Amino acid sequence: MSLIKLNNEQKMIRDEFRKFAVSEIEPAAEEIEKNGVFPIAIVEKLVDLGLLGLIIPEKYGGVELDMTSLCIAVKEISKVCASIGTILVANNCLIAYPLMKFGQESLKEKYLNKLAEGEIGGYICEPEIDLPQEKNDLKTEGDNYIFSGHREFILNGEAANFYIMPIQTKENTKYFIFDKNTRGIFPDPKNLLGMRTAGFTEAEFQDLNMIKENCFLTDDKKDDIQSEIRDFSNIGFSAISLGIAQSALDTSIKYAKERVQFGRTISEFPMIRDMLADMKIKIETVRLLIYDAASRFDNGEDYSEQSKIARIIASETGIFCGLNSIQIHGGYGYIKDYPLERYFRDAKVVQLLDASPRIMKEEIAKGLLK
Amino acid sequence: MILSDEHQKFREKIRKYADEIVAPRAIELDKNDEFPHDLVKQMGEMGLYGLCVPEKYGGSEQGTLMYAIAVDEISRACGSTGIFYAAHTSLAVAPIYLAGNDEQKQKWLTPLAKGEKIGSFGLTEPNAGSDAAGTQTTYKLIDDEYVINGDKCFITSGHVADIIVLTATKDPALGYHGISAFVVEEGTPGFSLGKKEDKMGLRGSITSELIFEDCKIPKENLLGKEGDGFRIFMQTLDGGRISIGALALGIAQGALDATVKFVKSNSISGKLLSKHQSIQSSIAEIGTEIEAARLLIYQAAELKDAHKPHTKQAAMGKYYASLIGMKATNMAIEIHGMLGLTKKYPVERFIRDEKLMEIGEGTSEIQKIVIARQILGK
Repeated sequence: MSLIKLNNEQKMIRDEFRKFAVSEIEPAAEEIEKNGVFPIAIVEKLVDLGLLGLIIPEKYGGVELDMTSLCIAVKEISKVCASIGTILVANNCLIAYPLMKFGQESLKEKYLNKLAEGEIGGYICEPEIDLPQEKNDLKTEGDNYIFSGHREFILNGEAANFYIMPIQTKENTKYFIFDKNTRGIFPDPKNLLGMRTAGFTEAEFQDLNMIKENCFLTDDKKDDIQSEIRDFSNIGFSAISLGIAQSALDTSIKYAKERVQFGRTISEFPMIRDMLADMKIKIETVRLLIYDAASRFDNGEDYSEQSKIARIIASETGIFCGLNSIQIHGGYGYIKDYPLERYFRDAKVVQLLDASPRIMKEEIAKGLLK
Repeated sequence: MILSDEHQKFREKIRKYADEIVAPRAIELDKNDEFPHDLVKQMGEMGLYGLCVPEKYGGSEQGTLMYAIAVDEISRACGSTGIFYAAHTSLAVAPIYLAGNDEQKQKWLTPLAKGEKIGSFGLTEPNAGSDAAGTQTTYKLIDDEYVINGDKCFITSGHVADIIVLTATKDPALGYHGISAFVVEEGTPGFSLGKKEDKMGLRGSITSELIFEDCKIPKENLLGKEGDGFRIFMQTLDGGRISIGALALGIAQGALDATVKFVKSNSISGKLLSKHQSIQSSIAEIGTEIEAARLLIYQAAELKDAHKPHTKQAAMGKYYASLIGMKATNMAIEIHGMLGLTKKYPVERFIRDEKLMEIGEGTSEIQKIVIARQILGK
């Protein structure tokens, strides 16, 4: 018996998202990639079907699915369009989850309901390198926090109705939530290597005034909010990589059976067969790792290490399969008439969103040596 | 190997040109799909296309090693300019030099070597990729003219080429014995341009579809004898592999250089990235592999200059340089973190450009077959 056992609800989710991906996203995937804008029409359809606020509790108008179901949904969507997969992961893992887990009731009431109704949250990533003071300046003024500075990466930025921003302070990492219309936000669209339609932005902030109530209440000594949010989102990001890898393999199998060189289909050449087998081996490894991490979370077990392992291997596999699929297609893999080069570019981007493999590895080692 | 003073000086000269003139253009060329007509002209004036061509035909005959150094340095700044340079020189200049008679050389080689005209090499077809001898483009001799019919694809610089070296077969059933090589000039009736490919990388270079419909060329446009086509393109590709290897190498070096600059000017928690041991470890790995690739490619170039067999070394150089080039560009992005995904740094362009080096002028799989045949014997 397989280790991965989906229950009926999870199977339903898989079928529903697969159907949605194939009928609603696939026909438009190339077009939205070309235009490079946030696919608002498709996101609205997801909202209409109640498919956006997946993990939000019913109490706040959500569907209250488990993590395994979220992974299934993200994987199915990402097989067709990883940008939309990223929108789903950002909204659920980086916006809804921190609110659910760490937000005070008033914030949950307000923002979880909005999310469940289809509003989009923008997640402002913490800078990965040291910034000069003027680009990263948090002050307190009475009960309020005032932030001025620059943030290079905002997930879902283009369509965001509100933002969550972690800011590292001397004591801990504080999480702030504020509306799009707050004064002092100057966003700009951002074009990355891949995920062209995920709607990334960057932004300048000038005297952004955040009232104390809009900071997640945390025990000042506690510094594990960020690592917990990252652990959780790691699983979501892994599912995007898995979806990309699977599509890269599926497309390559089809092509290898059709393409004739030297008088036979290239599927008959051992080097091509090896590449296909290598892709499959990695994909199945990743599948087990992701669903293991997700079911640990769903069962309330420790999943921190597993989520990092899953993400590191999943993102490597996404890149590996993307590159191999280009290679199998030769010149055709390198041009935009085929989706392979997009698979690779998206896979490379998802590897690095919000947390780098280098830092995750360091944390795994830290855990081992504790 | 130690480069001679002459080679070293030449490298410095090209590096200066690449850093000052080519590199600042690379971002825009990539972003706007712009072909660098001005750089193409300048490189001609610098004599870069004639490095392997005798003076008689407008070259300086300084040799393949000089040429590999030039491709390496230009590509370090811009892969698009690099692929134009490599294709023009190795795939258009080289076969005419290799197989043309004196008259043909005067007519085509001289302007190509001087950069007055742009050259292209029409080998790949929709159904003849790795199986390049499976060409379906045909020719027929009718009244002192060859009549060509067929489609070529993925042809570098096709849309801007004045002179195209082309392979075609008398009859596909003859296999490689039936293939001949011709020169077709731009503007010949029956020759037209198909689409320009929209590519992942090398966006400042042009990749074209060429269409031949009853295209008539004079009998004098045949290179070598009928049936020589296979030999001509195999020899051309041997040299071409050195240049694509050098191109892959240049891009990898560019990625390393950009990464070195990044880690020396950015910190995490107050500590320069260059002081982190795990970053040092990655830099050491890439640096070592790049040096090893450079030795392989320069060795192949020296062998070619000494008129010694170099099929194995050229294939090894291309295979290895493109392999470690992908690793280097990938690692470069990883070290930059999310910033490496943005257009503010060159590394995301480098990886898009580098991927072609595992595909163009013989995929890595084909290189491995060539290498294995050399090692194992027949």
